[in-house]
Amino acid sequence: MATPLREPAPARERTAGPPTPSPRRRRTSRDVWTAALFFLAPAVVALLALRIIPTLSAVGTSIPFGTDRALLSNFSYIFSDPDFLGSLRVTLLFSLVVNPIQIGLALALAVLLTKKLPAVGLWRTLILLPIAVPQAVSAIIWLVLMRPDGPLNGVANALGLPSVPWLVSPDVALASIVIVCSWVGVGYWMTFLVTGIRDIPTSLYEASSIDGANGWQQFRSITLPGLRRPLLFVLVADTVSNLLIFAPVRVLTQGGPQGSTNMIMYDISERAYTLGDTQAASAGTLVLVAIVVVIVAIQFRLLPGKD
Amino acid sequence: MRARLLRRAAAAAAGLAVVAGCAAAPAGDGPETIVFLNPHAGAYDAVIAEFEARNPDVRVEQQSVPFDQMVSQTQARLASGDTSVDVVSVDPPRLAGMVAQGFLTDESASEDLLESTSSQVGINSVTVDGRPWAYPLWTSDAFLFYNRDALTRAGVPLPGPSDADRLTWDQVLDGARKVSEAGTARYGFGIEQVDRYYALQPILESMGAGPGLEGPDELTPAVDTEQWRQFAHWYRDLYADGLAPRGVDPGQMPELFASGQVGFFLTGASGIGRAAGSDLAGNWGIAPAPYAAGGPVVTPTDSWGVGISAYSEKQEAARRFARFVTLDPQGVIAASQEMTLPPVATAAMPAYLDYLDEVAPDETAGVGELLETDLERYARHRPTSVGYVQFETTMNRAFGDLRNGADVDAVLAGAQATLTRQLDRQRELAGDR
Repeated sequence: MATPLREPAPARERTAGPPTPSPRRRRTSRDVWTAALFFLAPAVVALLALRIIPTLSAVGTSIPFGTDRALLSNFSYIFSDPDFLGSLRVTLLFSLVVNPIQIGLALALAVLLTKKLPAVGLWRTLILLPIAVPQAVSAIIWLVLMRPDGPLNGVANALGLPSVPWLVSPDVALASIVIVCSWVGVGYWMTFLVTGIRDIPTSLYEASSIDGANGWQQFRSITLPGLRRPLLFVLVADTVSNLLIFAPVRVLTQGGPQGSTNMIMYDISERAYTLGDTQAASAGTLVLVAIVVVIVAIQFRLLPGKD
Repeated sequence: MRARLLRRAAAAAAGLAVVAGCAAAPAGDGPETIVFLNPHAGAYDAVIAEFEARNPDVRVEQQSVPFDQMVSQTQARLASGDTSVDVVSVDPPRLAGMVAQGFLTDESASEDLLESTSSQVGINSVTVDGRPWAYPLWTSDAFLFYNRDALTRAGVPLPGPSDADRLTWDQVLDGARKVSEAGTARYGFGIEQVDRYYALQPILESMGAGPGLEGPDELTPAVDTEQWRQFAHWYRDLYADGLAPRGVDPGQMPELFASGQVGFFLTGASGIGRAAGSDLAGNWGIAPAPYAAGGPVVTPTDSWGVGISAYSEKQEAARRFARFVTLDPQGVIAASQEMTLPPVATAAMPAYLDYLDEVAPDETAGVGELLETDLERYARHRPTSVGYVQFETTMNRAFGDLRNGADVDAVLAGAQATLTRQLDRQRELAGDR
């Protein structure tokens, strides 16, 4: 939050008080207010239009005002629907698996790519490249790669390995989505951690080297504590973005096989835009918002991120 | 048969005069732009150019979305009262749901025009509660394509082109197994619209199963029956031993056939243009869609029509365009070529068959006769229920699970429970309106 701005004191108080602000200072204060309003307006308008109003609208849609039904009937409907409950289960399982994998890999790569490696620029570019590909496009590429008769299994067979039912087995499909999301996600989150590592003074590493610390000790005692702030950001942002995964599910599995990849965003979108049940979709959206808020609050509590 | 079509075409010609040359005087402030939302990229380019040349006061902007996204796009935009869509492609079984939600205009004023230009089957496909709510453009049929070389090299006799030559499913799958075993094609058999109810309903009904929705409003699910289970086992087994491919979606199936990897291929009229333009040209053929031995022959029918959004602020121009695309022979012919889909407008059928003759003369020699026989004797509509979207979505997913080897009883019992819940919900929401 920005520091609150104070109104200029009323004129009658100014006559009594000792330091009377000059007209020039009053003008400056007004200028600051105008400038603040000018710069904040786009963000406030966007926040209202894209976040606050849609959320209020979802609340309005999810409660069937003006009908004979109970006010919370849409919520009781979705919580009695095995498909919705299944989507909650799948989303939570996905989050528990994908977040540690993505953050762990991003951290490992960030540490590796801040060392003096040959052709480090090339590696960094290659790892970052998937970010430049739109999610839907990369999902289509993976759809072909992961076909039972696709190139991935072709390579596996050529090496004498068995075929993997990437997208057609309920036991494997969610893991395939984890791979596709991590292919994009790891490089993206790594950039924040690379910047964080660069901000840690090199003198700390030099001093610890003189004291005889090895690489692991340096990582635990210097890199990790120094990365607390960017790590908190990556943890929260990655968790939220993974709760909202949609395109890979839409393109690769449509929630199947047997509901094994039916994540909550896809479930909500199907209700709203295929089945036309906007009331249940809005109720589902509010449940998702509540889950995100609770998880992020817990993460903030666990990782205070104070210096 | 062809002569009968021509006679019908001549009889319909009188009614067409009403539609032709209906251009209004250009407005003073430039052409009015109407937006046409459809799932057929490229199919309407020629008809739009023709329409704009005849109607300089109207410009048509296309918004073509992928086939799989058409339902969600229509639902999202029309449910929110979006006035930027004027004309929209309509799939007949979804029409009842769209009408119930107030998405489309009542086109009763065009009833006489429709009677004089279109087949009764086509008109029925856009009728809800006795009134037309859209204009029928295409109809559809299923055919069994085959890879001539793959069959011959595997010692499988090539099927004949006419109704009398129609194979049973057992015969087709025997041949497909020989192709697979001989390795002359990677897969013995494939279905273009794999896992979609549209393609599977005829097989189900030929095997003696019901359509899956029953009752006076077709709102009672019945997919957990003995006949459905028999079909489900049959469908699952196609993929269990690799006779047909798993993990390939409908968008990728035509390419699989065109690249010579499939022996027998169940597809529709739109496959003709694609196969003729592929590397397989000259090495494929068309046979009638198979049937279950001892059961009736059942073929699919109906295809996309064109409706006018109830929220459009340019309904007069939108109607002029919709009528041109679907009822004027010039418009219909132009709209039917890119996708090689058979038109509903009877006057346009001869030109459509001529076009097929140009594209693939040998392969399509029997198609005109087959189309007419199938449409007259064997065509079965999909259920016209306000719950069709729920039904189709749930069943397509169930078919997908069966293809991937899921347990038949669990899948069908699950689909029955999901449908019961969703259709109850549909009634509950309808009670609010």
